[in-house]
Amino acid sequence: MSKVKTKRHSISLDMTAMCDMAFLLLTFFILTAKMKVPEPAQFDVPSSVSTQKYEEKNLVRISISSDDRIFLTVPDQTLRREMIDAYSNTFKVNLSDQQKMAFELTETFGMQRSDLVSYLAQSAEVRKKFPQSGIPADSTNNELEQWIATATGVRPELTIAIKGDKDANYSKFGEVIATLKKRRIYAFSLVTTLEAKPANL
Amino acid sequence: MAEINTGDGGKGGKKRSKKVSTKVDMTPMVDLAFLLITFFMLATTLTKQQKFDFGVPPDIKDPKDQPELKASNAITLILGKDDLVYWYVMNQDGSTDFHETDFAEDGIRATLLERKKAVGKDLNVVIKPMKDSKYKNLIDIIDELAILGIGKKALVEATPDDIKLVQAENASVN
Repeated sequence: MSKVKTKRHSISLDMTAMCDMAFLLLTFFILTAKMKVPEPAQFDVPSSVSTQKYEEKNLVRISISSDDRIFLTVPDQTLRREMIDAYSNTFKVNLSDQQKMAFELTETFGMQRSDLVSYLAQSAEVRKKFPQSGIPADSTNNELEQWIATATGVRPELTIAIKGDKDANYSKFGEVIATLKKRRIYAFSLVTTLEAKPANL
Repeated sequence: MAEINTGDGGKGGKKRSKKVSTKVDMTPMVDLAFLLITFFMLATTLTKQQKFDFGVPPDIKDPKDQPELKASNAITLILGKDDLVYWYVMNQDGSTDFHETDFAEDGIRATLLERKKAVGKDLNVVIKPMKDSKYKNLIDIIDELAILGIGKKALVEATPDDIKLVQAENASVN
């Protein structure tokens, strides 16, 4: 009697399909990814029931941090280039090509003009730790207005978004609104996080 | 690793050319791909943010241009410090009742709902944040109006009279 041999099966799995799928997903994520940019301040945004999506397309954002500093964010790099060119021309600020390049790479900044000039002269590592005291927006020295004027001068169709920290004082927000009113901007959007609508109404 | 070559070599005798498996082990590649997927998923901004559009009226230089507003249709909310809200409605004879409330559900929402029932859709809400109120208070109030479906609102600076009223209210409580 001969032994009945059990047939040996290969336990190899075909990974090709899985690999295909993984790379497909990978490609998707790479193409849709927008990297988190380190911001000079953290913003704890208040919540609202609004469900309109906030997209950083064709806008400049004014941010107010919890310690009442004002920052300006320009997400579009080409716009930043055009802005710094226009700004240095209008306000007679002498900037080297390196400094303009540095501005092009600065998405968010919050400092007065004299600080900005020295900030842009620093290396990238120093710029990360540079103390930012906020853009002045009071009636005696309203640099925020100059920036908004520059931005809307370059791109008239720009929209303005305001992102405020929960604990920012209203007085700072009032200053920002007064500045926008001066530039004849009466409509803007406020950035919020989503909150559930109360059901018992 | 993932596959085991089970082809038996055959008994000696004829010398066969050795068969080489053409299968490539995909496992490390899949590992790598998933690692990268994980990285990109986490590095992408995960929390999507919302926005709402907001408008402010232009400053009016000439008081004659001020739109007529029936005082009894309007409710004035003054945002004070420590998340307090003060509100008043102008009566027919020009007198006002001054109230203090907060952002709780039976606070300002109940008040606004009551006014909305009393006045209907002509209700105008005048929001006057004081200097020491927080940005969050303003958003909360606008949000409250959005929840209740009150479309008519105006953001106005608090006048010295309003500030006096608030101070008087605070003094009477203490």
